[in-house]
Amino acid sequence: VNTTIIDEVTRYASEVEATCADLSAKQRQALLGDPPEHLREVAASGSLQAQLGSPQQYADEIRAAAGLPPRPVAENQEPVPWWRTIWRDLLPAWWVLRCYLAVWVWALVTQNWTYSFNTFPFPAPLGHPGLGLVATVLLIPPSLWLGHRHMRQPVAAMWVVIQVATTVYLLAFVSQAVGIGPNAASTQHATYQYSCCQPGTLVGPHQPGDALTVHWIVTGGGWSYQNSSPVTLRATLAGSFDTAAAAKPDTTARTIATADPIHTTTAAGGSPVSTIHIPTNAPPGYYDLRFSITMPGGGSSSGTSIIKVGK
Amino acid sequence: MDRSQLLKGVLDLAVLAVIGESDAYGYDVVRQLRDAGLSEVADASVYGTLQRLYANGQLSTYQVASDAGPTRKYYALNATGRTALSEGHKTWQGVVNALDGLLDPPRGARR
Repeated sequence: VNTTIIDEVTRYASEVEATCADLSAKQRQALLGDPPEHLREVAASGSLQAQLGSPQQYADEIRAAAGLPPRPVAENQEPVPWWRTIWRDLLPAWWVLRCYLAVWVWALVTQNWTYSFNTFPFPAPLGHPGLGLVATVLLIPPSLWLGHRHMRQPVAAMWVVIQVATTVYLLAFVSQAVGIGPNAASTQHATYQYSCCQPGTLVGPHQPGDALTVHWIVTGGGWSYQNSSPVTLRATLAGSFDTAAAAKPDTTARTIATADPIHTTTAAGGSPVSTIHIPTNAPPGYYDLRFSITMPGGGSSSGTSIIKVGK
Repeated sequence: MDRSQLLKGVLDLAVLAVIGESDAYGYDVVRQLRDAGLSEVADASVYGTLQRLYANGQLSTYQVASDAGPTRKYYALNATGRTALSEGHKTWQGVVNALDGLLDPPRGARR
Protein backbone atom coordinates (compact mmCIF):
# COMPACT_ATOMS: atom_id res chain seq x y z
CA VAL A 1 0.00 0.00 0.00
CA ASN A 2 1.17 3.46 -0.92
CA THR A 3 2.66 5.26 2.09
CA THR A 4 1.05 8.59 1.08
CA ILE A 5 -2.31 6.92 1.38
CA ILE A 6 -1.45 5.55 4.81
CA ASP A 7 -0.34 9.03 5.91
CA GLU A 8 -3.55 10.58 4.66
CA VAL A 9 -5.65 7.90 6.32
CA THR A 10 -3.79 8.25 9.62
CA ARG A 11 -4.15 12.02 9.59
CA TYR A 12 -7.81 11.89 8.66
CA ALA A 13 -8.60 9.21 11.26
CA SER A 14 -6.85 11.09 14.04
CA GLU A 15 -8.76 14.25 13.19
CA VAL A 16 -12.03 12.33 13.26
CA GLU A 17 -11.04 10.88 16.60
CA ALA A 18 -10.13 14.30 17.97
CA THR A 19 -13.57 15.55 17.00
CA CYS A 20 -15.09 12.75 19.09
CA ALA A 21 -12.93 13.52 22.14
CA ASP A 22 -16.05 14.21 24.23
CA LEU A 23 -17.24 10.61 23.86
CA SER A 24 -16.20 7.83 26.22
CA ALA A 25 -13.29 5.65 25.14
CA LYS A 26 -15.70 2.75 24.71
CA GLN A 27 -18.05 4.73 22.47
CA ARG A 28 -15.12 6.03 20.43
CA GLN A 29 -13.72 2.56 19.94
CA ALA A 30 -17.12 1.22 18.87
CA LEU A 31 -17.71 4.13 16.53
CA LEU A 32 -14.27 4.48 14.97
CA GLY A 33 -13.02 0.94 15.38
CA ASP A 34 -13.36 -0.06 11.72
CA PRO A 35 -13.28 3.21 9.75
CA PRO A 36 -9.47 3.25 9.31
CA GLU A 37 -9.77 0.06 7.28
CA HIS A 38 -12.64 1.58 5.39
CA LEU A 39 -10.74 4.86 4.94
CA ARG A 40 -7.89 2.96 3.31
CA GLU A 41 -10.26 1.48 0.77
CA VAL A 42 -11.81 4.86 0.06
CA ALA A 43 -8.41 6.53 -0.15
CA ALA A 44 -7.30 4.03 -2.76
CA SER A 45 -9.77 5.59 -5.20
CA GLY A 46 -9.01 9.26 -4.49
CA SER A 47 -8.71 11.98 -1.90
CA LEU A 48 -10.55 11.31 1.36
CA GLN A 49 -11.48 14.94 1.76
CA ALA A 50 -13.09 15.03 -1.70
CA GLN A 51 -15.03 11.81 -1.21
CA LEU A 52 -16.01 12.03 2.44
CA GLY A 53 -15.86 15.72 3.27
CA SER A 54 -13.82 17.12 6.14
CA PRO A 55 -12.99 14.89 9.10
CA GLN A 56 -15.36 17.03 11.16
CA GLN A 57 -18.23 16.49 8.72
CA TYR A 58 -17.44 12.79 8.60
CA ALA A 59 -17.47 12.57 12.40
CA ASP A 60 -20.70 14.57 12.62
CA GLU A 61 -22.38 12.24 10.13
CA ILE A 62 -21.24 9.09 11.93
CA ARG A 63 -22.45 10.48 15.24
CA ALA A 64 -25.80 11.54 13.86
CA ALA A 65 -26.38 8.16 12.19
CA ALA A 66 -25.28 6.30 15.32
CA GLY A 67 -27.78 8.28 17.38
CA LEU A 68 -25.10 9.94 19.52
CA PRO A 69 -25.34 13.57 20.64
CA PRO A 70 -23.71 16.11 18.31
CA ARG A 71 -20.26 17.26 19.35
CA PRO A 72 -20.31 20.15 21.80
CA VAL A 73 -19.87 23.56 20.26
CA ALA A 74 -16.70 25.18 21.58
CA GLU A 75 -17.70 28.00 23.85
CA ASN A 76 -16.16 31.37 23.28
CA GLN A 77 -15.03 32.02 26.80
CA GLU A 78 -12.88 34.74 28.23
CA PRO A 79 -9.40 33.37 28.88
CA VAL A 80 -9.12 32.38 32.53
CA PRO A 81 -6.27 34.19 34.34
CA TRP A 82 -3.47 31.84 35.47
CA TRP A 83 -3.92 32.62 39.15
CA ARG A 84 -7.55 31.58 39.01
CA THR A 85 -6.61 28.28 37.46
CA ILE A 86 -4.09 27.67 40.24
CA TRP A 87 -6.57 28.72 42.90
CA ARG A 88 -9.19 26.43 41.42
CA ASP A 89 -6.76 23.51 41.41
CA LEU A 90 -5.73 24.20 44.99
CA LEU A 91 -9.26 24.51 46.35
CA PRO A 92 -9.63 20.87 47.42
CA ALA A 93 -6.37 21.14 49.35
CA TRP A 94 -7.82 24.14 51.14
CA TRP A 95 -11.01 22.19 51.94
CA VAL A 96 -8.85 19.62 53.73
CA LEU A 97 -6.56 22.17 55.35
CA ARG A 98 -9.44 24.09 56.90
CA CYS A 99 -10.56 20.94 58.79
CA TYR A 100 -7.10 20.65 60.28
CA LEU A 101 -7.03 24.36 61.20
CA ALA A 102 -10.51 24.12 62.75
CA VAL A 103 -9.35 21.29 65.01
CA TRP A 104 -6.33 23.37 65.99
CA VAL A 105 -8.65 26.18 67.02
CA TRP A 106 -10.71 23.71 69.02
CA ALA A 107 -7.53 22.39 70.66
CA LEU A 108 -6.41 25.91 71.57
CA VAL A 109 -9.83 26.84 72.97
CA THR A 110 -9.97 23.75 75.19
CA GLN A 111 -6.50 24.61 76.50
CA ASN A 112 -7.46 28.22 77.18
CA TRP A 113 -5.13 29.42 74.39
CA THR A 114 -2.15 28.36 76.48
CA TYR A 115 -1.44 25.32 74.42
CA SER A 116 2.11 24.13 74.41
CA PHE A 117 2.87 22.90 70.91
CA ASN A 118 4.28 19.62 72.19
CA THR A 119 2.06 17.52 69.98
CA PHE A 120 2.76 19.56 66.85
CA PRO A 121 1.83 18.84 64.08
CA PHE A 122 -1.14 17.10 65.70
CA PRO A 123 -3.74 19.24 67.45
CA ALA A 124 -4.86 17.77 70.78
CA PRO A 125 -8.32 19.04 71.71
CA LEU A 126 -9.11 18.25 75.36
CA GLY A 127 -5.52 17.05 75.57
CA HIS A 128 -5.99 14.09 73.24
CA PRO A 129 -4.07 14.05 69.96
CA GLY A 130 -6.08 10.98 68.91
CA LEU A 131 -9.28 12.97 69.28
CA GLY A 132 -7.72 15.67 67.09
CA LEU A 133 -6.97 13.12 64.39
CA VAL A 134 -10.43 11.59 64.49
CA ALA A 135 -12.05 15.04 64.44
CA THR A 136 -9.94 16.13 61.45
CA VAL A 137 -10.77 12.99 59.48
CA LEU A 138 -14.48 13.28 60.33
CA LEU A 139 -14.59 16.91 59.23
CA ILE A 140 -13.06 16.25 55.83
CA PRO A 141 -16.06 14.65 54.03
CA PRO A 142 -18.56 17.42 54.92
CA SER A 143 -15.95 20.05 54.11
CA LEU A 144 -15.29 18.51 50.69
CA TRP A 145 -19.01 18.19 50.09
CA LEU A 146 -19.61 21.84 50.96
CA GLY A 147 -16.73 23.01 48.80
CA HIS A 148 -17.47 20.75 45.89
CA ARG A 149 -21.11 21.76 45.76
CA HIS A 150 -20.14 25.11 44.28
CA MET A 151 -17.78 23.75 41.65
CA ARG A 152 -19.03 23.52 38.11
CA GLN A 153 -16.71 20.66 37.23
CA PRO A 154 -15.00 18.13 39.48
CA VAL A 155 -11.32 18.72 40.07
CA ALA A 156 -10.07 15.21 39.55
CA ALA A 157 -6.32 15.70 39.78
CA MET A 158 -6.41 17.17 43.27
CA TRP A 159 -8.06 14.09 44.74
CA VAL A 160 -4.79 12.28 44.35
CA VAL A 161 -2.99 15.05 46.23
CA ILE A 162 -5.59 14.91 48.99
CA GLN A 163 -5.29 11.18 49.34
CA VAL A 164 -1.52 11.31 49.48
CA ALA A 165 -1.58 14.13 52.05
CA THR A 166 -4.09 12.26 54.21
CA THR A 167 -2.04 9.10 54.05
CA VAL A 168 1.18 10.91 54.98
CA TYR A 169 -0.62 12.59 57.87
CA LEU A 170 -1.99 9.29 59.15
CA LEU A 171 1.38 7.55 58.82
CA ALA A 172 3.13 10.39 60.61
CA PHE A 173 0.56 10.23 63.38
CA VAL A 174 0.81 6.49 63.80
CA SER A 175 4.61 6.52 63.77
CA GLN A 176 4.61 9.32 66.34
CA ALA A 177 2.14 7.48 68.55
CA VAL A 178 3.73 4.04 68.48
CA GLY A 179 7.26 5.33 68.47
CA ILE A 180 8.79 4.18 65.19
CA GLY A 181 9.26 7.48 63.43
CA PRO A 182 12.43 9.58 63.33
CA ASN A 183 11.00 11.89 65.96
CA ALA A 184 9.78 9.24 68.32
CA ALA A 185 12.31 7.75 70.74
CA SER A 186 9.69 5.89 72.73
CA THR A 187 6.00 5.81 73.32
CA GLN A 188 4.59 9.20 74.04
CA HIS A 189 1.98 10.12 76.59
CA ALA A 190 0.04 13.19 77.36
CA THR A 191 1.40 14.58 80.63
CA TYR A 192 -0.55 16.69 83.06
CA GLN A 193 0.36 18.56 86.25
CA TYR A 194 -2.08 18.99 89.12
CA SER A 195 -2.38 21.84 91.59
CA CYS A 196 -4.95 23.36 93.89
CA CYS A 197 -7.35 24.94 93.44
CA GLN A 198 -9.33 26.63 90.76
CA PRO A 199 -9.76 30.29 91.73
CA GLY A 200 -13.13 31.21 93.15
CA THR A 201 -14.29 27.67 93.87
CA LEU A 202 -13.51 27.89 97.59
CA VAL A 203 -15.20 31.22 98.20
CA GLY A 204 -17.36 30.98 101.30
CA PRO A 205 -18.68 31.35 103.74
CA HIS A 206 -19.56 27.70 104.04
CA GLN A 207 -22.00 26.29 106.56
CA PRO A 208 -21.61 23.26 108.84
CA GLY A 209 -23.02 20.26 106.97
CA ASP A 210 -22.05 21.66 103.53
CA ALA A 211 -20.11 19.66 100.98
CA LEU A 212 -16.98 21.64 100.18
CA THR A 213 -15.80 20.87 96.68
CA VAL A 214 -12.13 21.21 95.82
CA HIS A 215 -11.63 21.67 92.06
CA TRP A 216 -8.09 20.66 91.14
CA ILE A 217 -6.27 22.62 88.48
CA VAL A 218 -5.08 20.47 85.57
CA THR A 219 -2.40 21.94 83.32
CA GLY A 220 -0.28 20.66 80.48
CA GLY A 221 -1.62 18.03 78.12
CA GLY A 222 1.41 18.05 75.88
CA TRP A 223 3.03 14.87 74.73
CA SER A 224 6.06 13.66 76.55
CA TYR A 225 8.33 10.63 76.47
CA GLN A 226 7.92 10.19 80.23
CA ASN A 227 5.97 7.22 81.37
CA SER A 228 2.64 7.83 82.97
CA SER A 229 2.97 7.97 86.80
CA PRO A 230 0.34 7.59 89.48
CA VAL A 231 -0.70 10.73 91.33
CA THR A 232 -2.73 10.98 94.53
CA LEU A 233 -4.71 14.11 95.31
CA ARG A 234 -5.64 14.63 98.95
CA ALA A 235 -7.48 17.40 100.77
CA THR A 236 -8.28 17.79 104.48
CA LEU A 237 -9.89 20.44 106.62
CA ALA A 238 -8.35 21.41 109.99
CA GLY A 239 -9.43 23.91 112.58
CA SER A 240 -11.05 25.84 113.85
CA PHE A 241 -9.26 29.15 114.40
CA ASP A 242 -10.56 32.40 115.64
CA THR A 243 -8.84 34.49 112.99
CA ALA A 244 -7.48 33.95 109.52
CA ALA A 245 -4.08 35.03 110.71
CA ALA A 246 -4.00 32.33 113.36
CA ALA A 247 -4.85 29.54 110.92
CA LYS A 248 -1.97 29.44 108.54
CA PRO A 249 1.08 28.88 110.74
CA ASP A 250 -0.57 26.32 112.99
CA THR A 251 0.11 22.88 111.60
CA THR A 252 -0.90 21.05 114.75
CA ALA A 253 -4.59 21.79 114.49
CA ARG A 254 -7.01 18.87 114.58
CA THR A 255 -8.24 17.51 111.26
CA ILE A 256 -12.04 17.55 111.28
CA ALA A 257 -12.79 16.21 107.79
CA THR A 258 -10.95 14.43 105.00
CA ALA A 259 -11.85 14.04 101.33
CA ASP A 260 -11.55 10.60 99.79
CA PRO A 261 -8.14 10.60 98.09
CA ILE A 262 -8.24 10.74 94.31
CA HIS A 263 -5.93 8.27 92.58
CA THR A 264 -5.13 9.43 89.11
CA THR A 265 -2.12 9.51 86.78
CA THR A 266 -0.05 12.07 84.93
CA ALA A 267 -1.64 10.83 81.72
CA ALA A 268 -5.25 11.05 82.89
CA GLY A 269 -5.98 14.78 83.07
CA GLY A 270 -9.67 15.50 83.22
CA SER A 271 -11.16 17.69 85.94
CA PRO A 272 -10.86 15.92 89.31
CA VAL A 273 -12.92 17.23 92.21
CA SER A 274 -12.48 16.30 95.87
CA THR A 275 -15.37 16.66 98.25
CA ILE A 276 -15.01 17.43 101.97
CA HIS A 277 -18.11 17.11 104.08
CA ILE A 278 -17.98 19.81 106.77
CA PRO A 279 -19.28 18.18 110.00
CA THR A 280 -22.64 19.52 111.17
CA ASN A 281 -21.13 20.22 114.59
CA ALA A 282 -18.16 22.17 113.21
CA PRO A 283 -17.85 25.36 115.26
CA PRO A 284 -17.90 28.58 113.25
CA GLY A 285 -14.51 30.09 112.50
CA TYR A 286 -11.58 29.85 110.12
CA TYR A 287 -10.35 26.55 108.83
CA ASP A 288 -7.25 25.42 107.09
CA LEU A 289 -7.84 23.53 103.84
CA ARG A 290 -4.72 21.41 103.36
CA PHE A 291 -4.09 19.79 100.04
CA SER A 292 -1.31 17.62 98.74
CA ILE A 293 -0.33 16.13 95.40
CA THR A 294 1.89 13.07 95.76
CA MET A 295 3.64 10.99 93.17
CA PRO A 296 5.38 7.90 94.57
CA GLY A 297 9.07 8.37 93.87
CA GLY A 298 8.26 11.59 92.08
CA GLY A 299 8.00 13.96 95.04
CA SER A 300 5.00 15.80 96.27
CA SER A 301 3.71 19.27 96.68
CA SER A 302 1.27 20.64 99.18
CA GLY A 303 -0.27 23.86 100.34
CA THR A 304 -3.06 25.38 102.30
CA SER A 305 -5.93 27.71 101.77
CA ILE A 306 -8.01 29.36 104.46
CA ILE A 307 -11.78 29.12 104.36
CA LYS A 308 -14.47 30.47 106.62
CA VAL A 309 -17.27 28.36 108.07
CA GLY A 310 -20.39 29.84 109.63
CA LYS A 311 -21.53 33.44 109.91
CA MET B 1 -37.63 16.26 -3.98
CA ASP B 2 -34.61 15.82 -1.69
CA ARG B 3 -33.63 12.18 -1.98
CA SER B 4 -31.06 12.37 0.81
CA GLN B 5 -33.72 13.50 3.30
CA LEU B 6 -35.93 10.65 2.20
CA LEU B 7 -33.03 8.20 2.51
CA LYS B 8 -32.35 9.13 6.13
CA GLY B 9 -35.67 7.62 7.12
CA VAL B 10 -35.07 4.34 5.35
CA LEU B 11 -31.32 3.85 5.71
CA ASP B 12 -31.82 1.41 8.61
CA LEU B 13 -34.05 -0.75 6.47
CA ALA B 14 -31.68 -0.53 3.47
CA VAL B 15 -28.71 -1.61 5.61
CA LEU B 16 -30.70 -4.46 7.17
CA ALA B 17 -31.71 -5.57 3.69
CA VAL B 18 -28.11 -5.63 2.43
CA ILE B 19 -26.87 -7.60 5.43
CA GLY B 20 -29.95 -9.85 5.29
CA GLU B 21 -28.90 -10.87 1.77
CA SER B 22 -25.43 -11.88 2.99
CA ASP B 23 -23.06 -10.94 5.83
CA ALA B 24 -20.96 -7.90 4.93
CA TYR B 25 -18.28 -5.58 6.29
CA GLY B 26 -18.69 -1.82 6.47
CA TYR B 27 -17.33 -0.70 3.14
CA ASP B 28 -19.03 -3.66 1.45
CA VAL B 29 -22.39 -2.38 2.75
CA VAL B 30 -21.63 1.09 1.40
CA ARG B 31 -20.72 -0.32 -2.01
CA GLN B 32 -23.79 -2.52 -2.26
CA LEU B 33 -26.06 0.41 -1.37
CA ARG B 34 -24.42 2.50 -4.08
CA ASP B 35 -24.59 -0.32 -6.62
CA ALA B 36 -28.28 -0.66 -5.86
CA GLY B 37 -28.74 2.97 -6.90
CA LEU B 38 -28.48 4.85 -3.60
CA SER B 39 -25.48 6.81 -4.83
CA GLU B 40 -25.84 9.69 -2.38
CA VAL B 41 -25.53 7.52 0.71
CA ALA B 42 -22.65 8.82 2.87
CA ASP B 43 -20.00 6.43 4.16
CA ALA B 44 -20.19 7.93 7.61
CA SER B 45 -23.96 7.53 7.78
CA VAL B 46 -23.66 3.86 6.95
CA TYR B 47 -20.98 3.38 9.62
CA GLY B 48 -23.03 5.22 12.20
CA THR B 49 -26.11 3.22 11.27
CA LEU B 50 -24.24 -0.10 11.57
CA GLN B 51 -23.01 1.01 14.96
CA ARG B 52 -26.50 1.94 16.15
CA LEU B 53 -28.14 -1.25 14.83
CA TYR B 54 -25.40 -3.23 16.59
CA ALA B 55 -25.97 -1.30 19.82
CA ASN B 56 -29.72 -1.96 19.48
CA GLY B 57 -28.97 -5.68 19.35
CA GLN B 58 -30.10 -6.25 15.75
CA LEU B 59 -26.68 -7.21 14.41
CA SER B 60 -23.90 -9.54 15.47
CA THR B 61 -20.29 -9.18 14.35
CA TYR B 62 -17.29 -11.37 13.70
CA GLN B 63 -13.76 -10.75 12.45
CA VAL B 64 -12.41 -12.20 9.23
CA ALA B 65 -8.76 -11.95 8.21
CA SER B 66 -8.52 -10.90 4.58
CA ASP B 67 -5.82 -12.14 2.23
CA ALA B 68 -4.56 -8.67 1.40
CA GLY B 69 -5.01 -6.00 4.02
CA PRO B 70 -6.45 -5.79 7.50
CA THR B 71 -8.89 -7.93 9.42
CA ARG B 72 -12.46 -7.03 8.53
CA LYS B 73 -15.39 -6.82 10.86
CA TYR B 74 -18.38 -8.55 9.32
CA TYR B 75 -21.95 -7.79 10.31
CA ALA B 76 -24.70 -10.41 10.32
CA LEU B 77 -28.42 -10.28 11.15
CA ASN B 78 -29.47 -12.00 14.33
CA ALA B 79 -33.04 -12.99 15.23
CA THR B 80 -33.93 -9.47 16.36
CA GLY B 81 -32.45 -8.04 13.17
CA ARG B 82 -34.44 -10.46 11.00
CA THR B 83 -37.66 -9.51 12.77
CA ALA B 84 -36.81 -5.82 12.30
CA LEU B 85 -36.13 -6.44 8.61
CA SER B 86 -39.42 -8.23 7.94
CA GLU B 87 -41.43 -5.68 9.92
CA GLY B 88 -39.62 -2.82 8.18
CA HIS B 89 -40.35 -4.48 4.88
CA LYS B 90 -44.08 -4.61 5.66
CA THR B 91 -44.13 -1.01 6.84
CA TRP B 92 -42.28 0.13 3.72
CA GLN B 93 -44.66 -1.82 1.48
CA GLY B 94 -47.61 -0.21 3.22
CA VAL B 95 -46.19 3.28 2.68
CA VAL B 96 -45.36 2.55 -0.96
CA ASN B 97 -48.84 1.18 -1.67
CA ALA B 98 -50.44 4.17 -0.02
CA LEU B 99 -48.31 6.62 -1.97
CA ASP B 100 -48.85 4.75 -5.23
CA GLY B 101 -52.58 4.99 -4.64
CA LEU B 102 -52.26 8.75 -4.11
CA LEU B 103 -49.95 9.39 -7.02
CA ASP B 104 -51.59 7.07 -9.54
CA PRO B 105 -55.25 6.78 -8.57
CA PRO B 106 -56.96 3.79 -10.21
CA ARG B 107 -59.14 4.79 -13.19
CA GLY B 108 -62.65 5.78 -12.17
CA ALA B 109 -61.71 6.61 -8.61
CA ARG B 110 -61.71 10.31 -9.36
CA ARG B 111 -64.53 12.19 -10.95
